[in-house]
Amino acid sequence: MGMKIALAGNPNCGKTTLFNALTGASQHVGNWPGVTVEKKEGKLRGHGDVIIQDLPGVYSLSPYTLEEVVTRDYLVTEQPDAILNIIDASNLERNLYLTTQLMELGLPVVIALNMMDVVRRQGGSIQSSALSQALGVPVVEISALKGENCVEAALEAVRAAKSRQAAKPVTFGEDIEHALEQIGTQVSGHCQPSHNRWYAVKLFERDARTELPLGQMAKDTIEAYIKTVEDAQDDDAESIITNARYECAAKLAHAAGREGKVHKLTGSDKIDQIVTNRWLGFPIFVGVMFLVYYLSISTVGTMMTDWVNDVLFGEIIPPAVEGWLASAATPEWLNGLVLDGIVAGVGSVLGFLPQMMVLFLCLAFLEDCGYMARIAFLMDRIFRRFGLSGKSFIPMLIGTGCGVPGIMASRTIENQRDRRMTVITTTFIPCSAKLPVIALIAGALFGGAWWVGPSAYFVGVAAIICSGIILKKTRLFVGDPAPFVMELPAYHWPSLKGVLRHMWERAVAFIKKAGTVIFLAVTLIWFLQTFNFRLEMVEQNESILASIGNVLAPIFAPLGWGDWRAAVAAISGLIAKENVVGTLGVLFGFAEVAEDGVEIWGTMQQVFTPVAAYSFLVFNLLCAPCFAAIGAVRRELGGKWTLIAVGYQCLLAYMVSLCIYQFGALLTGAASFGVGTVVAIIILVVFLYLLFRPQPKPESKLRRAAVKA
Amino acid sequence: MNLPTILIVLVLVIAVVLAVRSIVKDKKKGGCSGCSGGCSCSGHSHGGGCCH
Repeated sequence: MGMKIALAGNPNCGKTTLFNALTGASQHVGNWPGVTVEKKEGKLRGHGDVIIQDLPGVYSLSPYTLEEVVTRDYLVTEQPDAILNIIDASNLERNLYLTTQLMELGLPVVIALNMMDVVRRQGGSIQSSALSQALGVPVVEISALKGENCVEAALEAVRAAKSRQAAKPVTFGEDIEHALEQIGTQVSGHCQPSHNRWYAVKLFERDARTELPLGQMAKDTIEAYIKTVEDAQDDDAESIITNARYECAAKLAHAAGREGKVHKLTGSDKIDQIVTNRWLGFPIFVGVMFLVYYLSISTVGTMMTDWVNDVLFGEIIPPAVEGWLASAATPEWLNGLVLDGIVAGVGSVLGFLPQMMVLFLCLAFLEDCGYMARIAFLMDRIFRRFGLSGKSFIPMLIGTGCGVPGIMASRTIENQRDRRMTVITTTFIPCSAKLPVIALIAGALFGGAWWVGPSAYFVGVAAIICSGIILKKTRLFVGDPAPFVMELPAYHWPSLKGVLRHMWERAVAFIKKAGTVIFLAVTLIWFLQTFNFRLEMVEQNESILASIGNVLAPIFAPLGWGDWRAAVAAISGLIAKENVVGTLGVLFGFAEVAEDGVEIWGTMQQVFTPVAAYSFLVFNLLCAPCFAAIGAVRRELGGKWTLIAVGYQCLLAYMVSLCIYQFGALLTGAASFGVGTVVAIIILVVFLYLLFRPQPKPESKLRRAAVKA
Repeated sequence: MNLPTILIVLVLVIAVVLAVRSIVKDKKKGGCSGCSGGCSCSGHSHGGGCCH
């Protein structure tokens, strides 16, 4: 039977980097909380019978966050054979707090002291042998980033596991130890002997998640012991243990000779003085995101996408497939399905793969170097002015990749109201699936203009801020912003291998989605746009899809895109946002090259004016996300709030798009002043009122309640 | 219908079945069929925890 070694440690201590080095598996290295909310495992390289379990990064084993609960539940219930505790040597004392808890679990523990090079650069030193002696467990110096001594640390953990020698827990003050001993007597018999200390401490802390089948007399006895210590120390039990742990950690750090406390600024600190500067921070952030989208959509990505669209899916694949089908004498309907459906639909989505890969590359670089964490810090400063918290921005940062984990990352927000609001607004940030839509509009209807891509991102940010302000002024969401404390990890140059690996993984997932979800969707779209209700092959305008589309199209006419094809494409985005492109590809004949050499997407210009195209873009960016994301919203908020969330998103998208088109058309002379303009003005006035009205006072509810009583 | 037509239709039917199976399998594993690769769970080597 295999052996299990659990990797445990603080966030950003290098756990996942070590995990990658030990298992060779590709894992994501993120720098902010909420990236991993569940454990991951892999086999130790060269030792197939040893399983390495990567646990979420936690600062302690208290039951307050999902990561902490997942980690402690695994360690207590599944009991790995040993724990490999990764410690960031440059933050020794803080990391040792968790160590003191891990050593109470009755399991063998080995310490992997990571980032020693950072300590030396700071002018400090740690005597790992002294630390080992003080803790009573082996300590191995490693560099996870450089892959030094990683396997040695894992093998030391394997040796510890084979010895079955549990780590001895640290000891606290005399009166605490006495109380713990007495509580341990009460607990004895109700849990495994190796867990006696763990449960004694948890019961002393009155831990909410600790459940043991103790009788009322035992519980009363335990409570009496706790109260004795609380009265003696004039503090509550949880704080007493917390302070005692910190004292232990300080003593251990001192015993390890942790000297050379940093007085000078590190390189990261110097960079942060600029990047998180009160005045420079936000412009730098704007510049960085502009650069990311500019590189992805307008320059590097475009060059490759143009080749894929124009050459591969324009001059190579469609003629080849057409020729092959002709030589096979296949019927017209099959030719249509293959060429006009599958090749057109899937090809139009895959055409944007190069741009997606460039975006993934840029995002991976920003995450791995540590800059993404700074964005959350920057946004907190801005958000707080509007009653929001930077904690809400972390899910949104994650949502730039995909909305589903972004929505799930909202679990780190304890405040229920803020959590709901975050879930509702997270998908306003363009996810990677919306990039093909952005790229299509930018390329086909704005001639590849540089500003379209970045503007889409900032429309999302503006929608989040405005929604936050408006919602915070409603009774459902009013309240003070949640406190926000986060660790800013040190900057480091990401490894090229890691960044490329992330890009490749995401590209493969995108291709897989094109081959599954998009393939099925465009096949269905082709069928519906080829046949009528009597299943006869007809012109597109007489098809089932046209019938459905013509019912929906008038709804979108005030937005400037009342063509049934645009309406159907927008609705099909509920399956997957890339599907908007796939559907347009099928409906606008992506596989057919115009005789006069006009670009493949030229037919779209007959339906969309530039203003209408931008309105279409914004609608798809802001409206309800794909079904997968809606499902995630439902899991987080339940049915009723999901309806509220989707309803709000669709309403906001509709109103913003309407205003963009009506005002834009008026300004560009594409339309004259009319009913649509009046409606747009009314919407704008209401919006401004909701945005700038005074903040209701939360205590007014209390006053009203007091009067009623 | 000639033989090439039958073969192509067969291939397409198999492709549809495989696509559906892949989506259902991903859903059961706890992964996202809707994932366009943008999340940290790409490759599903993370145990799919982020998509539960």
